[in-house]
Amino acid sequence: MIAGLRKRVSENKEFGLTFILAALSLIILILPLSIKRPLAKYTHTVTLAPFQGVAENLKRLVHTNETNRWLRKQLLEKELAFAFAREALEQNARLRDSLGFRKRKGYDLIPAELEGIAPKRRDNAIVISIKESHEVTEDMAVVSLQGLVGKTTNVLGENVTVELLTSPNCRVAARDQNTRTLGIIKWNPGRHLFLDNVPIRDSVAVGDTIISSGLGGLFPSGLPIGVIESIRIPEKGFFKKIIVRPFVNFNRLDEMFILKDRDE
Amino acid sequence: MFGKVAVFAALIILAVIFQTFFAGLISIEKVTPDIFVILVVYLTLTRSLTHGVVFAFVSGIIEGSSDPRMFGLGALLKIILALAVFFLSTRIRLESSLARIIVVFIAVAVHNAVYFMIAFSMDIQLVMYSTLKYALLDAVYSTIIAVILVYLSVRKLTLKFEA
Repeated sequence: MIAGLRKRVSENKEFGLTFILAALSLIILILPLSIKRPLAKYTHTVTLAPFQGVAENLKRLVHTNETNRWLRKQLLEKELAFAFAREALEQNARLRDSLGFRKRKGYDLIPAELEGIAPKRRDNAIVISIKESHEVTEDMAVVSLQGLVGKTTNVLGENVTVELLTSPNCRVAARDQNTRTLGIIKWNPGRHLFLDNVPIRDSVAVGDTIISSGLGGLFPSGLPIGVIESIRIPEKGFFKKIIVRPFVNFNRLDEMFILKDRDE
Repeated sequence: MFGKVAVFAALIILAVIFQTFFAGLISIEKVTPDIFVILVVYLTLTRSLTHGVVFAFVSGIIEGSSDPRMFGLGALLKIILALAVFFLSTRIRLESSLARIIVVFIAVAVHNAVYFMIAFSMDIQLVMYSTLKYALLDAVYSTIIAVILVYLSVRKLTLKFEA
């Protein structure tokens, strides 16, 4: 069979070329990720990045005015809220100190902008751009002004792939802000965000805010995720079926921030 | 020879520019036309298997570079697609515009569906959802673009003939 194939390939240059290129593609595909990553990065930098850079600059230019107005309004609102929050934070720090609690972790915000939707993974992942000087690695939390967006996966120079909450690979240890009930936020493909692993006896209510619990180790605690939209108690099983409506509209993402642990 | 390579390189650059600049602008609910697959089919049917396969490899590598985990998969699928279209064209007459447009539809749908199957590690629920939501709609959108391209090329030929 191999001899026949060899004969056919040598007879026909077209098939020979097809075979060589297909074999090359297959070899690239099965290479370990440690080799594929720099290879993909180089290809991306040489081919797609220049075009994407120009496209992104043009898009930014078009949206700058609109974003500016919106940001100014937000700034005023947030300044006011921040003044109250700072007061509460200082009070909280004093009280924690007097009770002998451990000091909370601090995070730096690395600004990022939406670069595009990850090809072929349109519901699950996006690509954001950052300044190359920032040290971004895999598995860092990404937030927007509305709440938790997802986590970083691939870092290719200025481009970072973000696995959204709408990805089956992105699960968040979460809790009900009011009742402090713990659970896990999961995405059911094409449907909703679920707060899973909440026992039937635990209390949660429609309209409660769900935040990250910080117990998973990846996402810091207190990041807003969404509100409980509906609760169903199944006839069989031990856990409630809780649908959560995310605060973030994953179709309207724009400016985002990557959370970097100050201690790292 | 140099002229051919230059034309080919220009075609790749134009396709990349289209996919980078315009595909996003004309996307409807994240459904975008796949110009790379359209061109793979077009080149295989109108030029030769070599043209189709080389374009499939280069465009697949460029497109796949944004996702290192799947780097190489796009190129492999497009090459298989070019080969399938070539074999189909040797057995069935695909000279009419309608037949070529149908081939574009099937090619985009199959290419995306197989890509989802491998990229999502055969997670049936996710593959079915992505295929129904994007693979078929992408195929419809790409077919519309292919219809426009075929119409423009036919019109150009008619004008040339009349002149």
